[in-house]
Amino acid sequence: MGFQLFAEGYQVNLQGNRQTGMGHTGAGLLMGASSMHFNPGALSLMKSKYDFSAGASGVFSKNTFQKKAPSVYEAKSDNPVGTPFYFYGATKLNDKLAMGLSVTSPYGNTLKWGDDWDGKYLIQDISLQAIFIQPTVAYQITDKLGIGVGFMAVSGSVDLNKALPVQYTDEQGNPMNAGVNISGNTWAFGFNAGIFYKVSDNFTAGLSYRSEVMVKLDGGDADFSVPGSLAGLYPDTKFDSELPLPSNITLGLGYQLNDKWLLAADLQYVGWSAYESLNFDFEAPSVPDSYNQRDFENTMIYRLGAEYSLNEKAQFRAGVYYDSTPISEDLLTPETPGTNKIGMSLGFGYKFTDKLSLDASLLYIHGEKREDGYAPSDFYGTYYTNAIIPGIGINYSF
Amino acid sequence: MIKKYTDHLLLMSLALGLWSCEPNVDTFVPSHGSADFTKFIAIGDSYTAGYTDGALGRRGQEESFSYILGKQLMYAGSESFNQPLVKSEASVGTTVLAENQNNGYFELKVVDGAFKPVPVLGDMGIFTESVYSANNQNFGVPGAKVTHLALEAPYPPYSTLNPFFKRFASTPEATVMGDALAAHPTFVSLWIGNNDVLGYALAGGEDDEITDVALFAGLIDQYAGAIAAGGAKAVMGNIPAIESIPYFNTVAYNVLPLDADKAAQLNAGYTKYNEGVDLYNSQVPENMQLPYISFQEGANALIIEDEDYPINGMRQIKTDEKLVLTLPSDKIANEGWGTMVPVPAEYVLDEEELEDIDVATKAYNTAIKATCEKYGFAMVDLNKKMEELSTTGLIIDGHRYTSQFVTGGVFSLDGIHATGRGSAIIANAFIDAINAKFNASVPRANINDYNTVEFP
Repeated sequence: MGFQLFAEGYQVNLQGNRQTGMGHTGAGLLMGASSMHFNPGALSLMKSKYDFSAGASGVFSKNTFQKKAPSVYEAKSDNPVGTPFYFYGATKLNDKLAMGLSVTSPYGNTLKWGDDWDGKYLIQDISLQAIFIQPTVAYQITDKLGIGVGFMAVSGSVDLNKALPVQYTDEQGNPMNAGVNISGNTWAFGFNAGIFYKVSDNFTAGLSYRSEVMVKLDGGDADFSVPGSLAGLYPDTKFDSELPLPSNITLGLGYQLNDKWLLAADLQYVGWSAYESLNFDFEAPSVPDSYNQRDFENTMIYRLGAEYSLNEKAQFRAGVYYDSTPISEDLLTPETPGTNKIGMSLGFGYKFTDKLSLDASLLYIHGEKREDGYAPSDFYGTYYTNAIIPGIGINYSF
Repeated sequence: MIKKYTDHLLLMSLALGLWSCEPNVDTFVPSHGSADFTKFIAIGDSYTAGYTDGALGRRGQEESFSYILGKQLMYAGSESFNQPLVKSEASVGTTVLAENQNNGYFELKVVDGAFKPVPVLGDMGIFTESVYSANNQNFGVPGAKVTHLALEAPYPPYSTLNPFFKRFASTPEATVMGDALAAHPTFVSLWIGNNDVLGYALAGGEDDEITDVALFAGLIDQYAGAIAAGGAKAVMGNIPAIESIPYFNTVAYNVLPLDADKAAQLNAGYTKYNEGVDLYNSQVPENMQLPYISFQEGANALIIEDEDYPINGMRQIKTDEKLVLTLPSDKIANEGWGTMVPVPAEYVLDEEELEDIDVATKAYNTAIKATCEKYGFAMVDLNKKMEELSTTGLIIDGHRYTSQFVTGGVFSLDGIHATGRGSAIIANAFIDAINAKFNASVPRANINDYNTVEFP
């Protein structure tokens, strides 16, 4: 399993196929159990007694790097297909109180440039993932107003490889590049909360907050591949590091235009400035600690979505969003080659019965070409990014 | 009913899928600008030849800056870059290890817990190879000075003096410039003059001599004129200051640490010498006073041989004087070199020698610059490049390179010549100068594709 960046930075916005079809709007919509992610305040207004929803997406992403001119060098990433998923289960305990559990993967990044590509001293491949397990309670204050809060237990893991600029020959006589593998996993915690308000019969609004989760990894494994003469200086050792999963504040609006049309808009503010640097503090004193400037900036994502009900059974959906990059000029790394992105989605929903329905979505993400690089390593070029992401999910409620 | 919708979705997916297969990229288009790279000829010394790790062999020839430059020029119109490749699988250098046995490549070994370059045996057969070809494009000759490129009577023919040239000279009487121009270049790289100071510097100022500045300037102008007369354009490299080369920068002036007892013991041994200093100082004016020899606990300046020095022909080395890389560390550790026995002058560049080298290097570089301006050639400021490497270092594509011996990544195990990666950095400096001067777009080499020091 792994994810490539299809939201900016290493956030992954694919937590419901109905929402994804509508440009991943949803903070201001009543979306049943999946509201636990989008706005736990809306969960309290869920209509059925029990609601379950599960789904997954396949992320087919491409990155192309063209080295800064004058150069004929070009590299293409060979990213594994990412499969972010979600599961939601919720129940109404009484008229006022609802509770549920969600399991989602809202952050992650899998990128594989190759062992011998030109940026190998920055990164060869990386796999970051975070699985959020979130028990949630929601309370309906009036029949128009709901609030909710969730506790997030996060299982985070990282596995990355980079080459070191030392050459040697192994015992079999093969030419080798030195390198290091960094891996580890840990638990971290946070919360989310939301408030949802039915302004009128056809107008809804929601405000949702997801806290920053600082994933602190103590005692991860750093395995060095170095020539024998340097093995004493670079032993396999432990490291400490930390990576923030940024906070999100989302304001969402929903408007039921008529029987046929539902419109939605979200404004999502992402607290990327928490990501100041990526540091590795190695236990072995002979291994120099690594400091890597990131200095991400807070960003805004603008989302628009619509759903058209053809009849009782079938709905068509479409959406568009603009996701600006948190990565400043001269701090663009091939590990997270971010750029401003436009997402265009289509969706389709079908109700088999009153209880069982299916949602399918298709998202195309176009990254603006970005000519930039990482000044501390003097690695510059033009990055091109795109992704196509089909997804499917089922819902069961009664 | 549902089938109809899924068909639609499938169609849309396919359309999007095809459209998004690969991001569209703007391709870089190389161009030759106002230069014509059809026939590129490289002329120069050991750097141009591909000498590395103390020897000439195919590995170095295939990663020389001239070869890398030749390959990159092929993107912009050059048709080939043929070299007088060593036929043997081995290599050969100029250090005599035994009778009729020179060194081959240095290899890095761990000796007594420290890294030490150790030469393999060279293949003397390389000196007698005959690899002349009319298609040759690399006229780099290890050891060549400005004065050697067109050596004429009354001097003996250069091929009889330098076996590296004899390998590929067209005739025994041929000159390097003569053969190079006979290849009808449309574009030339000429990087010559390193050995005009290096030969003297490597010998600690005790052998060889610095080429006369006026002679240097005259010859450079003569060569550039001959290239231009043939209709070719050229790029010339200037001469790095020797201070930026690890050979002169690795062994510190105060390389031997002493404990308090040993320092006191040595000081006692120099009582007589210091009495001599007192006597001398009492007879000369204040500005000619000489220092005592004195040792303290910690790092100490070594004692060196200085023929002209009024007191016993020896003194302690000054902080800005240089010890060369080949100073035998075992003699210092075990035979009292630098403490009880003065370090022989061949391992030392003293202030005066360094000053002579500096003056000559600057004058050469002035001449090279003037020549380039006169003939409209591009000039590569390798002096500046090497200075950057030896001070701040150069960060390139994810790594910081320095002129540090063994670990810096740029200099090979002889402490003078470049690694493959160092050659690529030099080649890119040539490419930048060519692009700027001739409004060309020759692509740079990927330096991470080339070899650096191999660790045991």
